[in-house]
Amino acid sequence: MLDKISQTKTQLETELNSISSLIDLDNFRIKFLTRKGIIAELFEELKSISIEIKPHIGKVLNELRTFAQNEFEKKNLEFESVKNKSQKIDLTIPGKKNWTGTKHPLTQTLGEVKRIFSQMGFQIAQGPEIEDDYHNFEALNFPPNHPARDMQDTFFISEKILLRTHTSPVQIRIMEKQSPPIRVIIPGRVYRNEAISSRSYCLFHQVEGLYVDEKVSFSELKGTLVAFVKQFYGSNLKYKFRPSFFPFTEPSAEMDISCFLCNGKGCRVCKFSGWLEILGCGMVHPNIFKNINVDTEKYSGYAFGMGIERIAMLLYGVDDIRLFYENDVRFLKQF
Amino acid sequence: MKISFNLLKEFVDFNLSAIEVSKHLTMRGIEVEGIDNIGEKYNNFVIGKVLKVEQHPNADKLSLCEVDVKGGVLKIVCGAKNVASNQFVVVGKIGAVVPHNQHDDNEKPFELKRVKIRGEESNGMICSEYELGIGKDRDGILVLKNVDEKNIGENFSNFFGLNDIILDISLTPNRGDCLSHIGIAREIASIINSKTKNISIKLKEDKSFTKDFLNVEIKNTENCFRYVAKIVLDIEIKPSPTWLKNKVEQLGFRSINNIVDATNYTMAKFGQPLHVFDYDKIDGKKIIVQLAKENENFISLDDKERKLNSSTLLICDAKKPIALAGIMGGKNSEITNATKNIVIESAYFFSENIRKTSKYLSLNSDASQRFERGVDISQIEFTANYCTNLIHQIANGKILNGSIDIYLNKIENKKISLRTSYTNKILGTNFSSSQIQKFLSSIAICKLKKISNDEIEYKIPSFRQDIFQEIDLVEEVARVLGYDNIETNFSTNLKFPDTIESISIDDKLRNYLSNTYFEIVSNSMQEKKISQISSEKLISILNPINQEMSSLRTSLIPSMLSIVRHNIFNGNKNLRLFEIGKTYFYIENKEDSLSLKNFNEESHLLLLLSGNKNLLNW
Ligand SMILES: [Zn+2]
Repeated sequence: MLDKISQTKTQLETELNSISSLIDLDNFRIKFLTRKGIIAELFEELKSISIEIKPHIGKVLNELRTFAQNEFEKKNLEFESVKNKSQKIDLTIPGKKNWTGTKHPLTQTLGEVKRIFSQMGFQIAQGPEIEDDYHNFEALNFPPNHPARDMQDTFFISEKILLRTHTSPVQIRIMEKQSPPIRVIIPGRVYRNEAISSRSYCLFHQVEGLYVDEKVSFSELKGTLVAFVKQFYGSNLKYKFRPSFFPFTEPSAEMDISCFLCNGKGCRVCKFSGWLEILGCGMVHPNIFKNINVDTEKYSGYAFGMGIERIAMLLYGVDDIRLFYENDVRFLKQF
Repeated sequence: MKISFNLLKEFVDFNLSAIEVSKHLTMRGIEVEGIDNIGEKYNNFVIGKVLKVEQHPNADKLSLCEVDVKGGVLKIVCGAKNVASNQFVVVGKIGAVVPHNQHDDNEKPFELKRVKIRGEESNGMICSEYELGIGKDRDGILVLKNVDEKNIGENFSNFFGLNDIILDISLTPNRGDCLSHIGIAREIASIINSKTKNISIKLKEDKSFTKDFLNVEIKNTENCFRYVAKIVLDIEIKPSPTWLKNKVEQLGFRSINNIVDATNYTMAKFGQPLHVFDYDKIDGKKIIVQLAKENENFISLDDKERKLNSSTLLICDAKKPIALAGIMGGKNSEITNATKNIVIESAYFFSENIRKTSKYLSLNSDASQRFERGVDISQIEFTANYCTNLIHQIANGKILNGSIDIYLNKIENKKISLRTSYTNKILGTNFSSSQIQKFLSSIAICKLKKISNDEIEYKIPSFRQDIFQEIDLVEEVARVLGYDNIETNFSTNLKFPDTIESISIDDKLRNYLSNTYFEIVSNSMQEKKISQISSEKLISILNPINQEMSSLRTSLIPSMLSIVRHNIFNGNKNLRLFEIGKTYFYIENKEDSLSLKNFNEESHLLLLLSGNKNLLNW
């Protein structure tokens, strides 16, 4: 793949040098930069590439795209100025360097998650970040004075109003309004009152999924998540589901995938276990359905949730979560 | 939580390695985060007998020793004053890694090599308690008692309970029953299709009756379901024997004395917290379990004065409170080196009450952690007896006859029905009712009766306080079966839409702007002073991490500016940035799907340009 990229670069440079008119330039744009162009095709190919080399190749490919875009803009400006200044070119003025930009790595990661799930028929929903205790805890089967509440340290606005600690309250809000079938993913910002460190920040982004219909089973939950994980991380990874505990799902599970950084051999990132925890999931607890008057005999459902920062850190090899919120352009440029 | 491999084996026979056990437990939802093979540390340490001690020819303070380690006699240079012939000692052989170097300021471990000390060869080291990492004594070598000729050459880790593997387990909050060795052993028994062993205790009791020495009254039966007390007279308080001291320390407790260590050891084994009072400090020889008065003061064991509320459950004597029930004892009834007679308490306190008080007082203990999750009410008296017996073995004394056991309203085992059809519907499986019965019986959830062809009623053991309803049994079936053994089925229900949902306006903006601007994502919490710059009514956080994050932002501008500042300080002067993010403020009577009533959450776009207008490309 790297060979292909460097061939494309050579080809691109040759054609750049031979551009002598606006028409040539437009042909260049169509050939390399459009959605069906050569570079887009390479990006398409990148998706099927094995996960351990993906970040590296992705980076090289990104550089190629940026290079092509910059050169295109540069040429374009040259022609523009030629037009505007009606041939009066002052050759002593240095050329302008063009502005570049990127989407934030968290947006990029989230975008990919959204893309895969919307292909599977999930719609996108949202809800408030400032939540009430009922939606954030009680309706989700966290009784008052239950040890499960300690799992999530909460910022309070008042006694009963808080900053949501997960995107799960949106599950309740959707089911309050809409009857099944429901199939949504819910991206959003959540808050935890925890000490800030390289591994944890006071806020982060989650994507929650919810599917409620007749005859939804744990077996399908596994199927859907395996399909997602294979598209997202590559098709040859290994995975496992192991029992866990969340008050709002039962049975609850944690999904692990084989560490793509060390091929499951064990490294610092996977704490030498060969496995990475990537998401929590389970069957919607019947108490939740009862709280919002959904017939538990007729309907069942599954829910899952994952942290975008965690995924982005693994995918891009970022070892300090705070970098995402520092927004140093030298950092942002790399994505 | 720390779990000892050796203690597990007291409850169940198994032939699995630590790694296998960890894998199995993790797949049962009991996550093993670490394995510490303590025995391995002592690989090259053996028991030796000192045969001969001579003065080192070139150094006053050193001796030349000959030590029999079986299979050879080692010449070792030793600096300890207490070394003498015929002692049984611990010898670190060449290649052994000494846990503490007492001649190094950082006390780092070091590996033993063959060396010459002042011209004399030394082939190992005779170790002190401190060097072995099993005690504080560093003034002389450790001289072993209760050891004889036949132990020579034996690995040191076989002594003092050091030949053990400690598992570090992270438990989900539902599994209170697994906060003990017996709980973990039950899971292992189920995994290997076996059963846990029955452990019985026979106490050597005195003629005098416990009830003639103490009177117990439960005034608040709502929060104290059962209370057992045992009394031991004329005990000797002293440091624990080495095996017990090492074991409680391996399990993460601080070794205090033989009595406290015995209670912690019993709790670690059976999950039942125990408390010991100094009998002679109990006024009126009476224990009363009752609620505190609002604002009552109490000094707990840790010397802190605590203001109680009226829902705090107290253990009192005839005159005063002597313990915060289920959480921590009081200073006034604490055992000390002068204590002669003790009362051992084993009780069942209501989980919600303990939880509330522990939260109210911000006071967590190993005991409260277990009571909050619910202990096994059927084992209250047994654990009291177990602990009493252990105390008798290591602190002597006289055990009074019988125990006080107040158990007014007997708690029956829960009965829950499970339908085969429901189990299969939720899991997507196809089990028969007898298969399901088999899964459940392996974790002591046994059939009571058949309700219909589809439905069976089960009896829930008293230690499983996390099981309330049908779905909880479905989860148990899945757990025993193994999640990996449930078929992975990609839903035929999922419809693939022909056209992907049109992208949101936010994403369109991002796509467009990110061609020439860097997108930033910034913290939505900021200093109140800064949020006040807007005319909107700011939203404060009651319990912020710090003052810099004590309110929600009313505008995207300040957070953007702080990111600009960061970039400029780091030499990134020419900036084009954008953020799409929310602002937050109070607004009366507004409500929509994206904000709560009276709160406003609004999406905003902010563009920022800074530096030179044209980037010059020299
Ligand atoms: Zn790894």
